[in-house]
Amino acid sequence: MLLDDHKKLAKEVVDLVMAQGGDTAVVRIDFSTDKDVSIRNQKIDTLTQSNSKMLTLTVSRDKKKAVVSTSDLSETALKSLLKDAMNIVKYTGQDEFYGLPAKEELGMAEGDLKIYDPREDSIAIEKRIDMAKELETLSLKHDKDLIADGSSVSSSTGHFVLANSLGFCEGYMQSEWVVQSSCAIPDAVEGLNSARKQSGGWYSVANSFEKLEPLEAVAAQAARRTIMKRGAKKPKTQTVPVIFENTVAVGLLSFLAQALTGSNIYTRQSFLADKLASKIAGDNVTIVEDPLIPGLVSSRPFDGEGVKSRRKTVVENGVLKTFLLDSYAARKLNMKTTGNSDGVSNLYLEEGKTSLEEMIKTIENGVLVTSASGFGEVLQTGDYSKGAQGLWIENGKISYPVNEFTIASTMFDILNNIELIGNDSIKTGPVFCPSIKVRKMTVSGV
Amino acid sequence: MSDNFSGISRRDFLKITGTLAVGATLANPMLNRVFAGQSSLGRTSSCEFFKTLCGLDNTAINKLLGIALSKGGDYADLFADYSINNSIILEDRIIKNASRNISAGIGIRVLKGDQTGYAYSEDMTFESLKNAALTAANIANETGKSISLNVTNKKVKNYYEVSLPVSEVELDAKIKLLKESEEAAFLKDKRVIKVSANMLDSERYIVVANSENLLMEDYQPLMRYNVSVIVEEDGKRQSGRMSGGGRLGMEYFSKIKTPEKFAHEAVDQALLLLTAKNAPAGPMPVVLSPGDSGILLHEAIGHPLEADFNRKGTSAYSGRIGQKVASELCTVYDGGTVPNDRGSINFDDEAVASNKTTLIENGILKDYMHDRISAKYYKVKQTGNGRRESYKYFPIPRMTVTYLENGTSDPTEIISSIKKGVYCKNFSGGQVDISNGDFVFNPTLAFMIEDGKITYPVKNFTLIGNGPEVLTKVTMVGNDFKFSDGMWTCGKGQSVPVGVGLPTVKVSEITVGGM
Repeated sequence: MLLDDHKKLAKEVVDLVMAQGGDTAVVRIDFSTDKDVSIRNQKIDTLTQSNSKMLTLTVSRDKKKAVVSTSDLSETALKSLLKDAMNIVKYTGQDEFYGLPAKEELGMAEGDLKIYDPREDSIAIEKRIDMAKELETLSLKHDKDLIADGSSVSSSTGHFVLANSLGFCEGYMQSEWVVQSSCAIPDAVEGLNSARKQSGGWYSVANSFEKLEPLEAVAAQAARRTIMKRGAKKPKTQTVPVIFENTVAVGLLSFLAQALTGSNIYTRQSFLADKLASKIAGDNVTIVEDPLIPGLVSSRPFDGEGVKSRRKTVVENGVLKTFLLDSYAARKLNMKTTGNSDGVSNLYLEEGKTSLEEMIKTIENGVLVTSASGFGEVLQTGDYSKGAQGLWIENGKISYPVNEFTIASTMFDILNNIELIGNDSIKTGPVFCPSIKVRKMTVSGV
Repeated sequence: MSDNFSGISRRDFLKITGTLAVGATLANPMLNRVFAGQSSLGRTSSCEFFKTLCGLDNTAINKLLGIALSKGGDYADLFADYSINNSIILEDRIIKNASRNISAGIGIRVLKGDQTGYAYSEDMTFESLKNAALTAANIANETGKSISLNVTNKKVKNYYEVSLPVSEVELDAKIKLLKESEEAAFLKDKRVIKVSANMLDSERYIVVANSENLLMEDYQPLMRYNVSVIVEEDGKRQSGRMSGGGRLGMEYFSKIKTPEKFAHEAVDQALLLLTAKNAPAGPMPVVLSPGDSGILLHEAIGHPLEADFNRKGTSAYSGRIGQKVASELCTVYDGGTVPNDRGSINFDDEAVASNKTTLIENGILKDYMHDRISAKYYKVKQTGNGRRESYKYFPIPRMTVTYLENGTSDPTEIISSIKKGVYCKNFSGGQVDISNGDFVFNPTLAFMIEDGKITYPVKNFTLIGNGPEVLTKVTMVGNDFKFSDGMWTCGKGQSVPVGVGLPTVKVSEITVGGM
């Protein structure tokens, strides 16, 4: 099997580095087979299929580090790669904090995470084409004015292998299926924007083909999320309660994860650098990372350094319990690695009991934000500002769609003013979050 | 799942890439062998490069393209791509890391009408490439077609002659630059607590050949230099960051910007932000500084004028060619022909020579940016905008260098014409919804304008506007045109380096998203 071949290769490269005088060596191999079918107006738009691979070697000598990588796994290429690495370590600086994780931290979590379904190849390309066509048909039937912007069925299967000079050599298989539908709808306005459209889409992601949402459901959401924007206008500038729909709330949590990441803590770039064990959010905020939830696409048995995955509470009733560290950041901060080399895996805000509908009912005048854009998260200060689209709420009901406005606040203000937490997380990313209601934010529009 | 992920419209953005990918010059035996036979231009041609690497010569290319068309495709192309990316990072007073990445593969595309079949291989044996060709061929479904081809090399103008590519200098020369920046930053102000600097560079060997018997080869050098600092005062921290580069070699540091200047500008920016107040909220006049503010063009009209969105009828500019979409003061171009610019290309990834395309002329929409499929759909000539991130992708319409023609106003007059507004200097990025035309961009350094004068710095906020409206509100255009110092990467499912340019511009009203 290719996974075993790659494990063997990874170990061989590690041994070769050590034989040539390396002090430590880490080899990772990422491999995937991707197939993608995209349909537009009932015709195949694109049909793609490929394998991709990358071997990354990290070498140190006298605490001096080099990282080299290649998509070519031939013997010649790997020998040349190794030579490059041994040359680089002549130039890099001695870093007393560099090293591998402690041996006892390494390991593969027990149990089947159900992140791989071997049946990927059993779904023929013809069937995928038919599915994508059906998805488009089902999407467009919701409104005669809808324009097809592509429906697709994609699969990716592969593996991740890691070996290091402490004798760790493990790998695991992963698979992922995605079905996606995108639509647009004409929404002309008088005057300058005479060819305005609105666009929207939806998708389903799962580890196995069987676990994908029914096509009808994906199609209905894609159509609804497009049609609901029709007639959008710009709201007035004011301060109001804001509901972050689950799709947008995820962005807040991702920003928080970035601000808790080790390298942003030890470089003191993060507004949370001094906040360990302090209250950073309201009592109702508990945030957990659990890479071991079976069947989720981002679950993993070990992190990018081979550190065994485990569940941990990041924020408990508003108190920051831990940063997100790899072994390097941990040594810099005199702490222990939290298994977050390669980022987070299933970081989530614990759900509350309120449905989105109930949340909307609590607002007399406010906005439900359904998409946010831009790069307005500031790591140093926690300032948060985003371009937004959404639905205006009046007297507990959705009143009309809004666009071309911004929302602004700071992360501290947001985390301490979450009035309601929803029960609607979509558990398909490395980060997921239910819808939340924030007491007030500045909306800038007309 | 979020719209941000699923709707292609909102995937289109421009950003200073934060990730480090690149910096060392090292002994690759294969490269040494190639360089041993350097031509008078100092570099082996990409065709020779691939011939040495994997025996890919014109005969093999002809065969592969023939196989690609064996099932009845209308057109096939081959894209051979060997890319070496180096990075070197200084942090906490040491050279913390240096890395070198080699990504190489060959992509084969077959078109049947407007349908695309695509496959690539990282194994460059003829057998693997043949399999990729057969996979791509499946977009068509006839049998047993025999096509005989004879590709011939076509030469085009080189817009990025570089005497000493950064990728070919020794690591210690790069380390010297990084240390100069570090020292200059710490010396500049005692409130500086952290300095990091890095250099990213890459060199890329490309061969594109197609079933119209055309073959083109290119060598693309690219470098970017970044310095970031953190300052601290009374427990408050702020950061400043400067980036620059292009398709340039080591001469960048003597001709364009010294490592010391990078450091000083980053420190100045961080110190200004320490004193910055919150930006106001609501619509008001905005003045955009020359250079980087070209991000406005990239988002507001650049993406929506990429012809794929128009062909599919999903862009806010579909069907609007010939109409007035901007003030008479606006003439906007896109072209990969700007010498040594980060966004420049000698020809696009479909073997179309670069040229300067007029998108808007005196406010009238003239043209979209095309790839092969869209040009065919609109029955026009390809504009040289068919680009791809790497061999892993098929080409789609993308911007190269997008810029506004110089105007006549004195920049100081532009500022003094404003009673209350915002002056924007540096940006972290922008994003657009191509369907309704709403775009955002995020200044990292901006100032209030009060009674015609710049008064105090304001903190990070979002500007939001509507593409088809905002350019009609360009009421003054300065005479101080500048291209951005190359640092931008554009994301549209695939990442490509791009350039922007703009003189000082006054927009009479745009929504400022402060608090």
